[in-house]
Amino acid sequence: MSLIHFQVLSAALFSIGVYGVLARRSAVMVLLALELMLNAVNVNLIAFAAYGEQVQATGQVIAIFVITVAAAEVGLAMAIILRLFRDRASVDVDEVDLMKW
Amino acid sequence: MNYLLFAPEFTLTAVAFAVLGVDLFLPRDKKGYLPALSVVGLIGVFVLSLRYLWGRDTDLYDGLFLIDNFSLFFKAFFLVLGVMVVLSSVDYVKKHLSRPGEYYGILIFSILAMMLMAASGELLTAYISLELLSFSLYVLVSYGRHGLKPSEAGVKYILLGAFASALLLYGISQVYGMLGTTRFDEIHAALLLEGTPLNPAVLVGLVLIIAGLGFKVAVVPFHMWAPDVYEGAPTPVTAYLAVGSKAAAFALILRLFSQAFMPAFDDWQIILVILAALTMTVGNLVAMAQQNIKRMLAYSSIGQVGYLLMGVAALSPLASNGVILHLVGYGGTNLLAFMCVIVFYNATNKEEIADFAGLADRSPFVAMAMSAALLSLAGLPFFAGFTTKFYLFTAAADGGLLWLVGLAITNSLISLYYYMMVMKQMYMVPADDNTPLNVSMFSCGVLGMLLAGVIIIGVYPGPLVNAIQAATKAILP
Amino acid sequence: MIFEGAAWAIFLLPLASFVVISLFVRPFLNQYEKYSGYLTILAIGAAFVLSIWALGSVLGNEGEIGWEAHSWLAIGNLEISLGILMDPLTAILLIVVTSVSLAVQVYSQGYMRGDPSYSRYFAFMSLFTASMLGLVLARNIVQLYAFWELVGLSSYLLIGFWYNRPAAAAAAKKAFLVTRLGDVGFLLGILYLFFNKEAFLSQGLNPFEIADINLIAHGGEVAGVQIIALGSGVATWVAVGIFAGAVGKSAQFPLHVWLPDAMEGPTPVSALIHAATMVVAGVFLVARFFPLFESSTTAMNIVAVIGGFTAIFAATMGLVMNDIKRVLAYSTVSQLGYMMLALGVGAYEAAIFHLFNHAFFKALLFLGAGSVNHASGTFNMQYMGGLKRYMPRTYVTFLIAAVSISGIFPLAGFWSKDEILVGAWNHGGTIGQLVFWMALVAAFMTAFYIFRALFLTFHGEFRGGVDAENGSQSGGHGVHLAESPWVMVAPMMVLAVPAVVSGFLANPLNTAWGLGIVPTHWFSKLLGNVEFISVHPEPMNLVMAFGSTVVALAGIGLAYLMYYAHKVSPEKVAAAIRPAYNAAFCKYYFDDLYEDWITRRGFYKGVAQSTDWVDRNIIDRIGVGIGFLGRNVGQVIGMLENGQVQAYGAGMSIGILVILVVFSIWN
Repeated sequence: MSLIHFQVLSAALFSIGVYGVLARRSAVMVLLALELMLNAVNVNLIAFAAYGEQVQATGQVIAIFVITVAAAEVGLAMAIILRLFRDRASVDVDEVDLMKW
Repeated sequence: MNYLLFAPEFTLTAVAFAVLGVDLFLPRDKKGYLPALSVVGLIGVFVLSLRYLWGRDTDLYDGLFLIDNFSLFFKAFFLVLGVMVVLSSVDYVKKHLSRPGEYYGILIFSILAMMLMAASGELLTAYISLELLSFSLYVLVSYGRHGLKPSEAGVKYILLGAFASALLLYGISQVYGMLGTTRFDEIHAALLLEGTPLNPAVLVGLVLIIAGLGFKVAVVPFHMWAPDVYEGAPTPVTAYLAVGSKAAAFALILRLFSQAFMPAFDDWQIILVILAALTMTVGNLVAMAQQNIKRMLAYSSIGQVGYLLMGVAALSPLASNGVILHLVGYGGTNLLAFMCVIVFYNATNKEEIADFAGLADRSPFVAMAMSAALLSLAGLPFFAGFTTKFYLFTAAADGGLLWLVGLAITNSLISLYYYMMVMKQMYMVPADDNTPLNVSMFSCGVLGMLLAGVIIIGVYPGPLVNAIQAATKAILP
Repeated sequence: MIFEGAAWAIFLLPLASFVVISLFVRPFLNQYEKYSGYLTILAIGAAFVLSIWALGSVLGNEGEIGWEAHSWLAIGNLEISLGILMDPLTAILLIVVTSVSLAVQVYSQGYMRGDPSYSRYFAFMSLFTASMLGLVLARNIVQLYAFWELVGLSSYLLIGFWYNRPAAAAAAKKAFLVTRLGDVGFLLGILYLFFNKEAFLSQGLNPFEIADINLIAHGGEVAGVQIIALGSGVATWVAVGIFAGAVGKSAQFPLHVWLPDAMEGPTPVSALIHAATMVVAGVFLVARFFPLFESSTTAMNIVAVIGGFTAIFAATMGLVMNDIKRVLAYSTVSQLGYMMLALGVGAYEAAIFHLFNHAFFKALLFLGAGSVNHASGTFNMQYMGGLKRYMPRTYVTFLIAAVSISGIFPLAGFWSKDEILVGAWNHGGTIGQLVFWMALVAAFMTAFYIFRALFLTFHGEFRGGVDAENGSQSGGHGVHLAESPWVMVAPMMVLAVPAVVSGFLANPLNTAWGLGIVPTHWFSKLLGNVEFISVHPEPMNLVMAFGSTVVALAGIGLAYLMYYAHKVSPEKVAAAIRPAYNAAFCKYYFDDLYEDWITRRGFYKGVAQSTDWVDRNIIDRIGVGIGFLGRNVGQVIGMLENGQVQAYGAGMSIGILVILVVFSIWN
C-alpha cells in the first residue's frame, strides 16, 4: 500500500460525493454525499500525514477538525432542511426553485 | 505568549454571549436594548483593538494567528461594518423577524469569524474561521418568517456552501500533501523551492481553493447562489452578505495570495484574469434584466467582485491598496443602497424595482440617498465609488492589465444603464399610491451617516488611503 | 493680482449657493423660494466680478499665475493634486461661463416664475455653474475629469427637470449615457497616461498634471532642461481618448444625437448649458491639451475632419426642423463642429475666439426662443409668425444674434468665422482644403436656416400658437401675444451688446479699428500667453472676408425668397396691379420651385432626410441596440440561473473542470 492508493481512493470517494451532491433529489441524500466528500478529504489528509516526507501530525489534526466541522454542518443543515420540510412537505431539492432568473 | 493580543476576539465572544444571555431575561417589549448592547460592545471592541494592537507586528500560536496592520485594519473595518449592519437591522428586525437575541448574537459571532479570517496565517485556521462565518450566515439567511423564500434561500446556501467548502478542503489537502505545510510563509518557501512549472497536484489544489473562496465572493461561475440567496435573505443580512462576507473573503484571498502563493503568480494570474473578465461582464449584463431590486444589487455586486478580482490578478502593493480601498468604498456604498431598500421595505413590504416608482415624491430624502448610492456604484465623481474605482483601475493598469481595465470601464458604463433604470422609476414614473413613506428619524439618521461616509470617502480619501497603505505593507512589504 | 482664495471662491460661491438652497431653502424655507433665485444671482454675480479680476490679473501677469497644488490622493509614488490652473484660456472661459450664466439666471426669474420646483431649478443651476467653473479651473486631469462628470450629471438633472414628461426623462437619460460613452474614451486616455507614467516620472513630471502633460507633449528644451517627448503613438492614443470625451460632450458626430433631444429641458437651461457653456467643454478640453494634440498629426486630422463633417451634417438637419429650439440645437452642433475644425487645423485662437463669440449670440438666440415661447406657448415655428409686431425687443435682439451668427460684417460672428476660414485655408493640404470647403458650405447653410427661423417666427401672419397646435408640448402658458417681462428682455439686451461688439476683440486690422481701445490682435496675443501655445495672428484677408460675406448673404437671400416673400398673399397683390401680380406669381412660382422641388424633393428628401435617417436609424439605434443587446444577452445568461440548486453545483463543477482543462492546454 503506497500513498498513491490512498490518493486514488480519496479521489474516487470525492468524485462519488460530487456525483451524489449533483444527482440525488432528496436534500438528506445530498447531505450524505457531502459527508462522503469530506471523508475523502480526511482520507487524503491522513494518508499525506502518514506518508509525507517527514511524518507530521498536522494532517491528522486537520482531519479531526474536519470531522467536527462536518458534524456541526450536518446538524445545521438538517435544521434548515427541517424548516424546508415544514414549508413544503417535501425535501426534494429539484422542487426548490421559487427564486430564479 | 501575550494573550492580551487576543483580547478583541475574546471580548467580542463575550459580547456575543452577553447579547444571547441578556436576551433570556428581557421581556418582549424591551428587546430594543439588544441592538444597543451590541453596538456598545462592538464599539468597545473597536476601541480596544485600536488601543492594544496599533502598530504591532507579531503572531500568536506559532503563526496561526497574525497580528499586524493588515488584520488590524480589517478588524476595525469589520467592527464598523458590524455597527452599521446592527443599526440598519433595528427597524427591520422589530417589524419582520422574531427572536432578536439570537439574530444579534449570531451576527456578532460572524463578525468574530471575519476578524479571525483576516488574521489567520494558516490554512486550517482560515478554514475554521470561514466555516464559523458561513454557519452564522446560513442561520441568518434563513431567518425570515414569512413565505417559502427564507427556507429556500437557506437550503440553497447551505448545500452549495458545504459543497464549496468541501472543494476548498480538498484543495487544502492537496496543497498540504504536496508542500507538507499549511502555514502561509512555509507554503511561500516551499513554492519557491519547487520552482516552475507548478506541480499539477498543487495546481489542482490551487484551483480548488480559488473555487472555494470564489464561491464566497460570488465569482462567475461560482456565483449562482448569490442572487437567490440575496433575494430570500432578510435585507440587512443581504447587505451584510454583500459587503461583510465578501470583504472577509477578499481579506483572506489577499493574504493567501500575497503571503503564500506569490511564487506561483504566473500560474494563477491568468486564471484570475479570466475569472475577473467573466465575472464583471456576466454580473453587469444579467443585472440589466432584473426586476427585483435585491437581485439587481446581487448581480451588480457580482460585477463589483469582477473589478476587485482584477485587482487581485494584478497583485502588487498598489493593487492591494486598490482592492482594500474599493472594498471599503463599495462596502459603504452598498450598505447605503441596501439601507434604502430596507427603509423602503419596512414601509411598504415591497422590493420590486417597479415598486420604487414615484419614490421621489413619497420620500425625497430616501430617493436622494438611493440615487447617491447608485451613482456611487456606477463610479460618478464626488462619491466613494469614483475614487476607489479610479484607484483600483489605475493600479490594475499599472499591473499591465490595460485591456481588462478597458473592459471594466465599459462595464461601468453598462452598469450606469441599469442603475439609471432604478433612478428613472424613482423620479420619473408616477406612483400608484402617493402617500408619503413612513421613515423613522432613526433610519433617516443611519441613512445620513452612510451618505456622509460615501461622500467623505469620495471627496477626502487621504487618511483612509494612508491606513490602507499601512495595512498593505504588512502583507506585501 | 488675484490671490488663490479668490480664485477658489469663483467655484465655491455657486457651490455654496447650491448647498444652501438644497439643504436649507428647499426643505425648510420653501415659502421663501424666490430667495433661491436671488441667492443664485448673487453668487454667480460675485463669481463674475471675481472672473473679471482674474482676467485682469492674467493680463497683467502676461500668462499663467502659478499656484501651489494641494495633495488629494497618492497612488503609489504618484500624487494626484487639486489646484487651480489660471491662464488666459481659463480666464476667458471663466468670463464666458459666469457672464452667460448670470444673464440666464436673471432671465430665469421671469421664465420660471410660478414653476412648482422653482428652488430646485436654481439649486441645479448653481450646481451646474459650479461644476462648469470647477472644470475650467482644474489643474489636474483627474480633477478635470471629476468635474467633467459632475457637469454631465447636473446637465442630466436639468434636462430631466420636468421629469414627469416622458420625453424629458428619456432625453435626460440619453444625454447622460451618450456623453458617458465618450467619457469611457476619456478615462481610458487618462489610464493610458498612467500606464506610461515612467516617461513622466523619470523626468520629474506628473502624468496627471495638465501642465506636465502639455510640457512633455511639447518636448524640446524648456527652461534650460531638455524634455524627452512622449512617443507619437502614446500621444496619439491619449489624444484620441481625450477627444472621445470631447466628442461626447460637444455633441460631435457620431455622438451628437443627445443634444437636440436635450431641448426638452427648460429653455434657459438650453441657453446656458446646451449652447453657451457645457457643450463648449469639449472644445475647451481639446484646447486645454492642445500641445498634446499638436504633437500628433493623426489626432489633429481626426479632430479637423470630425469637426468639419459635423459642421455640415448638423447644418443640413437644421435646415428642415420646425421646432425652433431644434433648429438652434443643430445650429449649436454645427458651430461646435466649426470650433473643432478650427482646432484641428491648428487655428487655436480662432477656435477659442469663436467659442467666446458664439456663447453670447447663441445664448441670446435661445433666450429669444424662450421669449417667443412665452408669448406663443409653442416652439413649433409652423404655428408662430408675425411676432415682430407683438414683441419688438425680442425681435431686434434675435435679429442681431441671427445676423451675428450668419457672419455679416461687422458683427461678432463675422470675425471669428472669418478667422476660422482663413486658418483652414492657410493650413493647406488635403485636410485644409477639405475642411475649408466644408466650413464654407456650413456658413451658407447657417445663414439660411437661421433666417428661415427668423422669418417663420417673426414675420408674416400669426398662425395660432399653441392653441392651433392643440396643446402638444406646451410650456403651460397658452397664447398671450405680448412682449416678455423686463426681467427676461433685459438680459437679452445685455447679451446683444457682446453679440455685436465682441468681434472687435480680435481686431485683425489696427488700433483704429479697435476704437482706440483694443490693440491689434488683442485676443490672439492674450491666448499667446498660454503655455506651449504659439499663435499666428493673421491679418485680415479681404478676399476671404468678402467671399464669406457673399456666401452668408446668399444664404439669407435664399431664406428671404422662400420664407418671407412667400408670405405675400397672391390675391391682394393681384387686386392691386396686374403686372405686379404676374411678378408675384412668378415669385410664387419661384417659391414653389424652391419649396417644392429644391427644398422638399431635392434637399429634404435627398440630403437632410437621409442624414436624419442615418441619425435615427443608425446612430440612435446603436445606442438603443447596446441597451437592447445587453438586456437580452443578460436575459439569456440569466436563464442559466434556473433556481435548481444542483444545476448551480453542476455549474461550479464544470467551471472547475474547464479551468483545469484550459490550464493544462495552456501550459
